[in-house]
Amino acid sequence: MSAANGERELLRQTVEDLLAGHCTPSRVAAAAGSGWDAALWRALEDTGLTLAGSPEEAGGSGGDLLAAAGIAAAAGAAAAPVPLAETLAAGMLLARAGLTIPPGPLTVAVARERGATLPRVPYGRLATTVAAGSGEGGDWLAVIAPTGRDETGQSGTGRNLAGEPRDEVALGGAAEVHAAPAGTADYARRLLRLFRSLLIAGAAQRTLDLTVTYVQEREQFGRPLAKFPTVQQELARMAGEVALIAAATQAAVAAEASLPAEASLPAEDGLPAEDGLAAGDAVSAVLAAKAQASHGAGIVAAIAHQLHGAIGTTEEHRLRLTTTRLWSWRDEDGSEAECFAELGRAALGAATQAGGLWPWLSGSP
Amino acid sequence: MRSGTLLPPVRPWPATAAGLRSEVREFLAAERAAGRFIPACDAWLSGWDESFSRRLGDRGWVGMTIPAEYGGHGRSALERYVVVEELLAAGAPVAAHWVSDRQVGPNLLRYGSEVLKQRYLPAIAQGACYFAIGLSEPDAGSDLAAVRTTGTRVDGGWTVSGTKVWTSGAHRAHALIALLRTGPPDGRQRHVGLSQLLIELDQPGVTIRPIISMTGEHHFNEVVFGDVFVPDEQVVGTIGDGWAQVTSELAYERSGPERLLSTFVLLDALAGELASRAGDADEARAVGRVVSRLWAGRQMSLAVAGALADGEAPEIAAALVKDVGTRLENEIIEVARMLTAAVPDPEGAGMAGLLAQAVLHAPGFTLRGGTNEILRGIVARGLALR
Repeated sequence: MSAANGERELLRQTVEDLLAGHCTPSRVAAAAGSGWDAALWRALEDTGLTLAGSPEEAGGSGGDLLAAAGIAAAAGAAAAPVPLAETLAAGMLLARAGLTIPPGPLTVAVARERGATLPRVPYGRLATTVAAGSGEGGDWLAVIAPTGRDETGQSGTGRNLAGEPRDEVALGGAAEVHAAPAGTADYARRLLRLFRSLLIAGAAQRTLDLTVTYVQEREQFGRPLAKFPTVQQELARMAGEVALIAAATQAAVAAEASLPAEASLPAEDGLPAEDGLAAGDAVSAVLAAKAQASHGAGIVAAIAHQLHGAIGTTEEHRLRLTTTRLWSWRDEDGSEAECFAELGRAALGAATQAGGLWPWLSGSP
Repeated sequence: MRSGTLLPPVRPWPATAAGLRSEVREFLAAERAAGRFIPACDAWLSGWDESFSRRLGDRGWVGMTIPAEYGGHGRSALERYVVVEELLAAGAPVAAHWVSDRQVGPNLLRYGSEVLKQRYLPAIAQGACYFAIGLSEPDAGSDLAAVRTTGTRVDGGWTVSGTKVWTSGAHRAHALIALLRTGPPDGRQRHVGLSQLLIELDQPGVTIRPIISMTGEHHFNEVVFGDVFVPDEQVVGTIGDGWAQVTSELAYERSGPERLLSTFVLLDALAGELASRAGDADEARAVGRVVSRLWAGRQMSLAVAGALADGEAPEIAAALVKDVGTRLENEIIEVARMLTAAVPDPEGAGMAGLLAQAVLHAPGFTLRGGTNEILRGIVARGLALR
């Protein structure tokens, strides 16, 4: 194992242990009213985990995208009631634009135009929104203070199926707006999709783990459910989706990470690709990952509930902590319908080139 | 509870991958331009072309991982992956050397005696020695441990009798490696007493009868052994260890790019057709659906290939590749049917012909190499045992 791998393994263990300690089913359920666990957030901040992947000069805690990705997947698995993945993405976005990262929880949104109202911003009431946009004057980033309250004075305008805050944020007068390098808005879009995919990957794996445990413990007709071939078939189908999501997100992270730092804001058509999965078109890689994550999320959740039987549908059962997130996250930052269409158009564009679909698909034109 | 353990980590491509890929593409373009092959669905089963295999051998693209001392090229497993997926994506006729390249080479390297290695590996690497697989029998399909072909101990070797079926290419192959019973099972432990013997097919006592597919093609055979003498030096590995040897071989058989790409040329033709007319969002979505799944499945297959190359045995992940990948091969056909006006025609060119090949070969995708139901059972048991 290389030194970098060893470090990442250590980080992964640290994150998982911390989250396991805090994200007990009762704690996560207790936070469902506000979608926010202040003690967990403090613990994450104290250990520097909220700003991994962003350089220390910008106020981050160092490390690379792979480190941040591991943390995001762990947050998804734990159903952590804090905007951890969102903060990691926001930190990277600000740092790449040369801006200082403000303290506290952060969240990312992409704006159509400067005067826009941003709908359904994750944790907008509690987190500083970093909104990216582009216009005639080039790309920009706006930093907008939390819209306020909760704990649990509520406020905010909405929630998702898991009770996570999804708030309207006005890009109005109070926002600081900074000019940002070309490609910043596209980078923000990719980061949103990538981190949402990682959350799904974590939640899908945990949902599978819970189901494997359940079918071994639960007995009917005098033997564990796991002994029934029909149950085994469904379990394996679920595992196939989980593995596809894991493979796709892993590869998308690698593709994004392979973009050289100075060119991490690629032009529309991406950078000249090197050979293989760690290169190629990061835009398409992230798109494919979100497409598979969103597509698989529904299948995983459905099979998990079918195999858990009625008990899994109750408020007291922890299965819902990940399945309600899967059902929410699959539609956020690009549903599979949206990602399929966008990827399909890219594929059909590639099909007109010499060599057809394969050079594009293999990431090696 | 530990997350993310279903899949081995992805290894980086070797530095030589990009150059190798270009070389293979240039070669394939030249072959196509010269009319030496027409891209076909499932050509790794149906495209038997010995001169094509030899031309690949001349370029060092068969038996790539075989060390130079045995006439091979000492390339890495991922370098082989590059070449193989390029050939598959092009629908090239690789059936003749397919089994030799994919599993006989690695199997002999791992378990074969020095005699066997020297006898077969150089010819395999030349693309000139073709093998069949001797696993299934009339009464041993999914239940492989039920094989009844027997090897009886005689002076200096074994006398083999029994019947193998679904042996692709046996009527043209030089040899096969059979899984057979050389000793009694140990009570209910049926995996005990099985062995692998390498049997030359051109010899008295071996009868090969065709099993014609519903396509009208002749790939499969029934191979009957009537007291065929096999000398001791043709034993692969250790007598009695056949089950373990076959199981490790199957990981290679299940997770390769051929489990995803059997209908790729159909998808490519479809994309070409759609790109040439102004399509709607539904078309793009349908293409995006299979493309994203293919892209993700390829990453899975690559993750397993890297782990296998490093000596790991990712049995669950390998089985998952085959289940996910072969279902996708079928889904591609359905998407193509939905979006093209062409109808399958075995005599037809372009989409019509490709559709005909794909539809008629499709049932095999989820049967060969272990049915998907058996594989899902392996996955489920593996998950429970983790």
